[in-house]
Amino acid sequence: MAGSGTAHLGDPSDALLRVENLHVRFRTGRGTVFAVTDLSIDIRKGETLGLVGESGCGKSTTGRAIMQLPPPTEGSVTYAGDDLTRLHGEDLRRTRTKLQMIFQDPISSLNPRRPVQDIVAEGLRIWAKSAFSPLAIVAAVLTLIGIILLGIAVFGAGIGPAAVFGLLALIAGVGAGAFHLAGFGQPTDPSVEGKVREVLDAVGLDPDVAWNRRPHQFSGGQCQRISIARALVTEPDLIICDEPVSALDVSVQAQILNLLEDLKAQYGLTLVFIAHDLAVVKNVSDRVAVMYLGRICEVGPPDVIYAAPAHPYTRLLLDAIPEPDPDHRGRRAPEQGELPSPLAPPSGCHFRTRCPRADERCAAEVPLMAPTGDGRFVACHHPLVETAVAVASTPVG
Amino acid sequence: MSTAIDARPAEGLPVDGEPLLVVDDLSTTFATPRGPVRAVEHVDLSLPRGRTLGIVGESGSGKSVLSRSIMGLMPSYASRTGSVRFEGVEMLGADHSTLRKVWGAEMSMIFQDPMTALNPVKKIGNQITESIKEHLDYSSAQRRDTAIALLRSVGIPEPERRLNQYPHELSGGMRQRVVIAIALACGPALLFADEPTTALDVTVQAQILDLIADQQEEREMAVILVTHDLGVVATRADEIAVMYGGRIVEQAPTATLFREMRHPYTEALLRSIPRLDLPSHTRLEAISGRPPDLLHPPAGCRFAARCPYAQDRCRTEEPPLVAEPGGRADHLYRCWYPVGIAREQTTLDTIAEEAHVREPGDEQAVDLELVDDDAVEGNVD
Repeated sequence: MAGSGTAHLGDPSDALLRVENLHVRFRTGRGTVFAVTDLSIDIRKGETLGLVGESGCGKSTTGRAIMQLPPPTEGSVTYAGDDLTRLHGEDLRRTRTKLQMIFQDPISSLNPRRPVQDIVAEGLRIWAKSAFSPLAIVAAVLTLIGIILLGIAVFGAGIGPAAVFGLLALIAGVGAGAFHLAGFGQPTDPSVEGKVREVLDAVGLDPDVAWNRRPHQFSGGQCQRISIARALVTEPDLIICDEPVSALDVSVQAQILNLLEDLKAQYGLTLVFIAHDLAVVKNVSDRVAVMYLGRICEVGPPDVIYAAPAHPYTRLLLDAIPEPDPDHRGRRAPEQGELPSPLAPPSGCHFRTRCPRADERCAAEVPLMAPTGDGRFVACHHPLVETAVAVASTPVG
Repeated sequence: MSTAIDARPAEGLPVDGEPLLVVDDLSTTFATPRGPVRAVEHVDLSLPRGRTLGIVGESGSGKSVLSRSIMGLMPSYASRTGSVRFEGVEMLGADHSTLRKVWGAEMSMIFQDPMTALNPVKKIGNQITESIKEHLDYSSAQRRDTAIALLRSVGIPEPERRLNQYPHELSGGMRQRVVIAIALACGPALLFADEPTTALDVTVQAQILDLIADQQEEREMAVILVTHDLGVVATRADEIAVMYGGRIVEQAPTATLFREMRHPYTEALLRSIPRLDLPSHTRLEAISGRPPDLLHPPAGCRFAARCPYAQDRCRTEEPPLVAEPGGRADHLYRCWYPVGIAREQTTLDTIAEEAHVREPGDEQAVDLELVDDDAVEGNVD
């Protein structure tokens, strides 16, 4: 799609998070990559929004831009009345505890050297930490003494005992500071431990067994449960799940999808579910947005979109999926062409180079979102389902 | 291209009345510091020319080890017993020079990850002509023409220019086409495709699978398609073998397997797949627990610990892989209390009928066993 526009956005008061006119561009040695172009979407409280598309369509970039990792090139991301793109430093980090992410590779997204309890508790410890723990004060004093003694040595006394003591004090001070930042020497907070146990239990891991184990002692599915516990511990409103099941076997995938749905109900979560697998996205989503080359093609309830796609790109994606049914044998995938380079996206509708319905208008004008009357919006000049505007001009007789 | 195929004798005809590939009681054991891991046990298969066998299973089921065991691509700490006859010649225990003549020329493999399967510092043209140079007596101009024809046949535009490119200059789908072109270069009689599309987008996956099917038809090549995705094999394979814990647990012609599945593991796999034809928020039936530890395999049926129907007999006595008396001779399964006989038949339709939308409090299958330290998973699949 290839399209833009904001017709599909709902009432701002229903939205937990609202993304408007988002652009993400990356400068590279070969030119500028247009990863996301003029994308608007609202995420309603309590829903699961599925983002689906081929690799390179900008679905992960959109998820990361919401988290300001990195901040988008243009556009706004409004959460709880704040535009996240305008927040900086601690304000941004504090707000972001309410927005969490789960990543694709469950094993590499966990620190292999740390026990599960630390991995899960880290977010809580960072925000529970008082800036003036005894360790922090010791670190500051030692560092200061070190700098003063070294200064005296350099500017006056020459290399002598003062310089050696100064150097030692400096090293000790910096070391203590590092320990402080790493979370050591914090008074153990029983409420932290209780919360960590609660979330481990919620994701189906026995806290007593998991507590001091390290990630390599868990299977891929269990590691993904630990990642989910880590995301839950700061009591977020929104969790962005970036391909959370694509590295897992089908049997484990089913466990994780069921778990995410259970947790969503239990904790009143809102989810953004990013995946390339249309069947997985259909299974968990309340609304699906199909993305192509940095823009949204079509957004609406999954049962509507999958029953009768309105955008030719959605049709193409659905036709490509192998169904586990031998009766479909002999059906050939349509010729589909290749994804154009995001370094030079086509003019007008981004999908026109692969679209069987494309004409001159598609090259000239970017299609805008239009309703199809069944809760779905499509950005296409020649949709496969009549849009409400066209329906209105031809009354049903 | 036809010259490459002609290098093979007796095209399309079985040698001595025997199918192209006959695997008899093949077992593969890895010697590990913690003891022997029996990754594949007692596998019997036969595959005629032009047919496709799908091997399906989860990671750790031994499906990849099986295909490598048949081809003979084994590390030094692996040992194989049984027999693998290819074109009537015994491959187990064959010396290295015999295998070198067969690899690439008669049997070849498409690997899963197109980035690591290609040499990043060699031009694509040289990677394709490498096996032609090894096996066929072609001049360098003939080799170049063959490489161009191969690239064109796998749907790569401007093949002349691509010959001088490096793998990083191509997209993932294009790289996988190059891997296929290399596998097809000498016109093999048997092609192993080990998860050939797992790393690719669905749109590209469909094109690659169509491409393999076209080439198969053109060359009367036999294909062994290894995958974890029942959706991929349902429409591509003539016959399917479902593997679990190093053994074949069910084997049948594709349509029979889907219509009359007998093994609870096959059923469980089919139930756990999210389906496009079912409504959003349909509860998925996960398989609880995890595959057996092949260092210490369980005494009875390997699936018993995760099987919803397991009874005492299943935990003590392993069922043999047999056809049902009076049933189809080509439908084998390994179960004491099979689906459709000991209880009602499950099909895609019955699963759809039973499907229900998730509700809070639904039973959640949870797997709480920890992995042993330094699990040997890496060796097994």
